[in-house]
Amino acid sequence: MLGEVQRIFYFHVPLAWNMFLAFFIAFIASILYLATRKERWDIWAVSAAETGVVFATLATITGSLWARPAWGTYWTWDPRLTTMLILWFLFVGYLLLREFIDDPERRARVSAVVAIIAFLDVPLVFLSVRLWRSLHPVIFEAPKAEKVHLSPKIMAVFFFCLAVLTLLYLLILLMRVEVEVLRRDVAHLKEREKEALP
Amino acid sequence: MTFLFLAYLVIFLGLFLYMAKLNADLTGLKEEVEALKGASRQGEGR
Repeated sequence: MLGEVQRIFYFHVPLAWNMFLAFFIAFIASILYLATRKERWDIWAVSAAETGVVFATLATITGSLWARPAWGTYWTWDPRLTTMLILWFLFVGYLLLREFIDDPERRARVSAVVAIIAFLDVPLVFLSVRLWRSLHPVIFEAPKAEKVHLSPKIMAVFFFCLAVLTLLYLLILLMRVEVEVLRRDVAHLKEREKEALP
Repeated sequence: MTFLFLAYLVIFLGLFLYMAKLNADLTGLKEEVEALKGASRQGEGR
């Protein structure tokens, strides 16, 4: 019996779902950037990727805190945990890469390609518990024999937490987009100021 | 109980600190944009 620690589930799963949502937005925005070359898609891609990394970090730490009492260890090289760690490294790499390229157009183009490649790990993370033998529980859409049955009360609380955290995620994403827009405004204004100097 | 408390602490501290950082960035950048716009307007006036 897990007891109180089971409550981590109400936050851990919504954090992970919002991480998937964030990386999906980064993936779509990167495709749109490559197709249209409009700066706005690069802004959405980097904002979604950064917020996705924040949510991925929190989902991993809370998962680890749940794993200690449930599995007896904070970390194990389980398919779900391993693919998740790879995904985290891929998007942290994406953010680091952006810092190393000075030319904005080239930075946007290269990082859009990296984001698309990094996103290929997302279906693997999702399917890892279904494709391979994994310790990680499957709550939704599991085969009947492995299905974890949740009471309607637990489901109600879970969906409430999912809705609230999704709204919070969208708010954070919009804030991050605004920060990125302002950063670029500052860069443009500074450039114009430099050009105006005799 | 300790693990649950730690998890709550990590989530709320993590989200709170990230949002606080975004908020501080927003305020700072807005002020910087205004200052730069003001400076360029002054430059045009001259």
